[in-house]
Amino acid sequence: MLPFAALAAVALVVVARPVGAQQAVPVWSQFQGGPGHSGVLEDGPQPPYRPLWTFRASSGALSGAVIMGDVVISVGRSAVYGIDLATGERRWQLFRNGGPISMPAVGVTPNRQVLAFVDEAEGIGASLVGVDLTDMREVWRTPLDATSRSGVTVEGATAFVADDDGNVYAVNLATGALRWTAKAIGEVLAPPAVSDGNVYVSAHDPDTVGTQLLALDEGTGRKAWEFSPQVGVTTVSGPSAGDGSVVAGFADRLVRSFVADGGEERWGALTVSVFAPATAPAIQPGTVFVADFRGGLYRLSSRTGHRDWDHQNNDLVVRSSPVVSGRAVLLGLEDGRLVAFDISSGDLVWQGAPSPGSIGPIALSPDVVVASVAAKGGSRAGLVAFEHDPEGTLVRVPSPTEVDPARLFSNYALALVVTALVLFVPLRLLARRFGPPTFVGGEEGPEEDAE
Amino acid sequence: MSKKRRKSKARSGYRGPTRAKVQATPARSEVPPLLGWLSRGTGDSGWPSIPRSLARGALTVGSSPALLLVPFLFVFAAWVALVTLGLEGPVLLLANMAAVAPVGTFFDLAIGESIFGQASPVALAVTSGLIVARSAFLAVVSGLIVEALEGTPSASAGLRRGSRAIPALLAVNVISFSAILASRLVLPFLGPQFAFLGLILVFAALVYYLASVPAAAIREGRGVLETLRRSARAAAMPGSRHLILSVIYVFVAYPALFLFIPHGNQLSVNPFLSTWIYALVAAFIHMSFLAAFCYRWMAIEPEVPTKPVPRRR
Repeated sequence: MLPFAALAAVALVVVARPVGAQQAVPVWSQFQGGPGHSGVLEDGPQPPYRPLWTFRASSGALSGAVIMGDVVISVGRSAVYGIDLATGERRWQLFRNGGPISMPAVGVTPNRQVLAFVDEAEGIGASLVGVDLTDMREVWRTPLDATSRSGVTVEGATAFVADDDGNVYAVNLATGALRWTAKAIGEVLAPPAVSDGNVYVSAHDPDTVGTQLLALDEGTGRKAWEFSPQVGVTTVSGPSAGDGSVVAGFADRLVRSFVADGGEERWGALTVSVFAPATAPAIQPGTVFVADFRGGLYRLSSRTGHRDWDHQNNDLVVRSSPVVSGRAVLLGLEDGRLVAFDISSGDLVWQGAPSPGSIGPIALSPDVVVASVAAKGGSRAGLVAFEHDPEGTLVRVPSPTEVDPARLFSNYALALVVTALVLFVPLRLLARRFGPPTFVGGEEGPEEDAE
Repeated sequence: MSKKRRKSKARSGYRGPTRAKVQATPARSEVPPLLGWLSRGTGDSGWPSIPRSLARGALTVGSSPALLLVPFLFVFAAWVALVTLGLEGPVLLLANMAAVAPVGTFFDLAIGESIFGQASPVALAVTSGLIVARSAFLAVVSGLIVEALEGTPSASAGLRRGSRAIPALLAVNVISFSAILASRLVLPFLGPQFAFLGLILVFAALVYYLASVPAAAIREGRGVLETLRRSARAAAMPGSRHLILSVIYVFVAYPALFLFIPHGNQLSVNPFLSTWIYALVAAFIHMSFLAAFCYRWMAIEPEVPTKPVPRRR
């Protein structure tokens, strides 16, 4: 461990003391808000929203955010940032060696509030790093066998992470000691989900083009069950778990729900498109929200998989997962829009302006000021915060896949008249000019030459 | 020959195969058998030229209210029916709603799977229903086209004659469906680019051999198998024009019409006005090709051998 301790001294430098971190409480502690990735904050702010602040990192892209008390934490290429939730100003910064950007997570042990994130140094490799948020000191650093882009999940006193070789690690959040490791079939691109005594991992093997949803015993790492769909199902979304089931979207366009105990497939619900591997469903009691790659947002019954509604946004969803904020479902689109839907009807009720970059993972805070924080990629990467706008107005836009009889019939009827007239009048005149074709003994008639 | 006499002769219309002279087996050029179709000259066959065929097809369809309205109404009815079944788009599917087999068959399969998922019995049932509907639609339109080409357009006669051709059109769609399924199993081994090219070639081959089935079924009233054979024998007649027209249709129908449809990639069930106009023009193009193939069959019908042509060594 000595080389890593030395590296830590170089890699982690406190720029400013955290303010108020001593009593901080995890608000949105990790990807999708919790270890099961439920993505729900019942008292989250309601639309309409207005921009509150924007934070841009000098090192470019940022990970999705987690919220600890009044501090937003996000991982950049060469630093980890602590940002004031109310103002968007940087409160502290930790140096980071590098490596792929992935979701951090925060957890609380009896003695510490620990921030866990993945760091990778050239020549040394990847490691999971634990930082005590009360004094901003690195408290442990656990090496990983390969580059990791999954992101970190924290459940109780354990942090879980996976790497590109399919290794899954359970690490003591207080000490960094390895509790167990397990093996999935290939690279893991979304944080593991933890619920009902299991750790769920979505893995993909680029060589065999196979996918796997793997359930591991949370205490021992032993395989509880696995599901590998048919050949040709090349990608799988991140898992979300809760209420005795786990849900993930597969490349055969099916969202599947499995019983946590034993892995029996409970239902499969068809969507329009496949699912981006870095996204995951949101789970509310009785309901699953899932977004497919083509931008369709679906509300499904968690018991039967029946589709209550869907809203097709006609824009890609690559990095963002749906989250539930009170009575609204929020989703980030590739064109930079943050959009909000009524949870009952699926109608779009609010949308932000398109902006450069794409909206990534969304974090929610019940704070009266901040509604959501979106990580943006591309040339204008950073975090964008919104707050409830009491003077804003809500809209009500149904999905374009809901039949609007008046529009459907009027557009068609007008097209029919226009097209028929434009084609019929000149071609009728030409047909009269040339007359009917003649077929004489298998040869074209002489009049055909006129054509 | 005076102009009046020529007109009179022209109005005599089609002379059926019982009256027309069935010509002797056309001579084949001295080329290796497998490459023979590539090197056939255009002058040694009765196939009309491609521009003339397409012009005649467009004139036939565009000058007939029935031949315009039936496909236009079919496109709308099919869209509403599919939306009722659960289709959510994309609207580019409208471009091939009236397509001729195998392109149309390919989209019947795609639509069934889009709504109900791959390897689903319901998807297979829906695809089967779509194939039957498409066969009936194409048979009826073919009947109207043949009536119009014969110079005595009668909607009732066209419908009656067309309905008798439904089994033959159904056979064409079933053959196309089977070939597409087989292609799906084999072509992925070629890699994405070659798989696409392979699919285009399969489509072209199916059009090449089966394009004359509608007209042959309507005009000759033979059994399904014999009609299929007649169409294939016509395709094998000397000349490369039929092959070229088949390839043109496949390229127009499969990739080309997709590329330019307004808002084509949108998932919506309420297409824009511009999308509808494009879809109806696309339907007109499909019907024009169908009419062109019917016209070409009628032009060479008496030349088509009634028995298999022995291969020359």
